[in-house]
Amino acid sequence: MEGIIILLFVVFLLMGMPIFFIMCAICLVYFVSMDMAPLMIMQRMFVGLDQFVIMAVPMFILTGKLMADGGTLNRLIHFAKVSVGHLRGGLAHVNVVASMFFAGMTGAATADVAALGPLEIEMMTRGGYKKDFATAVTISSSTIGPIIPPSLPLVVYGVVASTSIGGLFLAGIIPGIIMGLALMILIFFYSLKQKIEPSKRASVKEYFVSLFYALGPLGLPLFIIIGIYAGIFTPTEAAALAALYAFILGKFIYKELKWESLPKIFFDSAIITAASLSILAMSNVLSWVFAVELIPVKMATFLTSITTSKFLLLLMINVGLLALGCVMETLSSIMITAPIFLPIILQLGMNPIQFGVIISINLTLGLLTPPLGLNLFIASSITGLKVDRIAYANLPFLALLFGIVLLITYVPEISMFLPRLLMGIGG
Amino acid sequence: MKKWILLAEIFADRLEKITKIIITMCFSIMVLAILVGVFTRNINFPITWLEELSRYLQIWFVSLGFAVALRKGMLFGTEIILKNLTPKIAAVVVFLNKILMMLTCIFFLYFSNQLIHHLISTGQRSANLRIPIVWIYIGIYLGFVLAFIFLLVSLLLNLVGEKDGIDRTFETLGGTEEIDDNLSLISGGN
Repeated sequence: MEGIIILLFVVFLLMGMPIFFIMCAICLVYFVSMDMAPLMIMQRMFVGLDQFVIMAVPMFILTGKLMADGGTLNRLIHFAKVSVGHLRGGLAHVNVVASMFFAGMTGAATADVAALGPLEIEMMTRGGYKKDFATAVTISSSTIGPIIPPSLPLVVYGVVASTSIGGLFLAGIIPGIIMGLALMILIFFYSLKQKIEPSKRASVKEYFVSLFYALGPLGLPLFIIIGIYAGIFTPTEAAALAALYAFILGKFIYKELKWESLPKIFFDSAIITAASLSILAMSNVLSWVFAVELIPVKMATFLTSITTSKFLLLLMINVGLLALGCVMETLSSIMITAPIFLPIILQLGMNPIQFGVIISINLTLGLLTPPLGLNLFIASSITGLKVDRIAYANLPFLALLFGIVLLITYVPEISMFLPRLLMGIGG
Repeated sequence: MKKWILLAEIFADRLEKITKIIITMCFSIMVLAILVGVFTRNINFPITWLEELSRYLQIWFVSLGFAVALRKGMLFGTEIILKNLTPKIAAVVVFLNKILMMLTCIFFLYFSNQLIHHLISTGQRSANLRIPIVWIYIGIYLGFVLAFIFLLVSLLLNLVGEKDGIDRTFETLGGTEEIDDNLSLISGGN
């Protein structure tokens, strides 16, 4: 039976059918062929959506949109400029740091490229950088977005794997910072060749004025993490309060948000959410099928029949995830693969929180690879550069980022240090 | 013939507009319900039905939203093969895709009818709001009905050589126009 299911999945996927319909179709085929009542599909979809915790997803999407419309972007970029603009490779560093700041407001890498990308790429090309280098830095740094909290992939993983979202958020902080620093080091070596003079160091006064203006958006991730960590509110409530915070900031402090743009912001957030959460609803059906068909067990047996070395198994899982990320969208891949790999991961003695960080970064890298790298296409439509050219310019960054995924895989302390220290998880 | 098909497109547009309003309302009320819920819980006056309300609104807006997202070409798929086919063969594959997706909708609706009937006959009610639970399931049901209608209209349009939003699902790699549209959606609609 699983042979037919996998065959149908691959055929439909290659035909270009949306993932949601693929999952629905193979569930129907499965239930009918197994003589089970297919009305379970609707029932399990209902159960999948009927969870308070996944409402963090629409709320964080809404927060990102309110922030982008509320005039925070220029303030963040300016603050990044006065912070790191004077280093060698200045504006490229500004690009990375601005993405790290923005990461604290939105949980999606695509939002980062779409909202910050045009500003960042123009800033860098005006400063004398090559367009493809500027674009590569922009899309690479955008992958930090989904790992520094709040993070949509981590929320979705937390739901699918029944793992503490607060713990996952804490675990994402250090890897996110390491990704940013590593990109900056690579940029430093690049800029030795490019001979572009960094801008002058900002005065102390200029620095603090800029910091003051950027405090609003910068405070948000802190507010979310402390709130969840101190147990004041749940991730969903934190996300809703974050949206309120973004609204007040944009409407009453920066005064750039308009009442009449609210319905569109709400509708857009709802549609983006629906595109992802409809898949979550369906994956709730599919993961049940997986469990009945013992797919995780079979997968584990298959993998351990190749090798029993923990090192190699983890490498194989990572390479497999990277390949999957190339052809499938991040959140849907997490929903499908997390239930399959989780039992193997637990057998290997890895904490599910650490695996959540690995799977989130790894699958996000798929946004940078053809054929389905959404960020490549967004960047291509911003700059007019060909997708292949951007992908090529981005190769060294991609290699570096995958190296970091492996580092996080083999050094648990990087992700587990904060959750262990602050929440006593995985002690 | 073509006139009727174009009329069907106008009908689908209207339907999309109405759905859009419902989705926006569900989403807005959900946001308010969660915020009020946080507030009342922290002043030790928890209103239990608020959480249930927001959960049910989420089911409605996601179910209807997926159909609208489909019509906007925003449901994720992959285009590895389609990109490399000649336009004629690609058109056939897209046609086949739409037929298969419509069949999926039909079978889903057919099997779900039993569940809807069952829920109506038992009259099961929700825990806090005490509304018949079937009303929530109808949201999912309607989502598939909408998806079917949108797919049918899109298929008919293809037959007379026209395209609509659903076709964008299959050509993300081809043009740039639809990326610009999606871009404005993602970035906040500037």
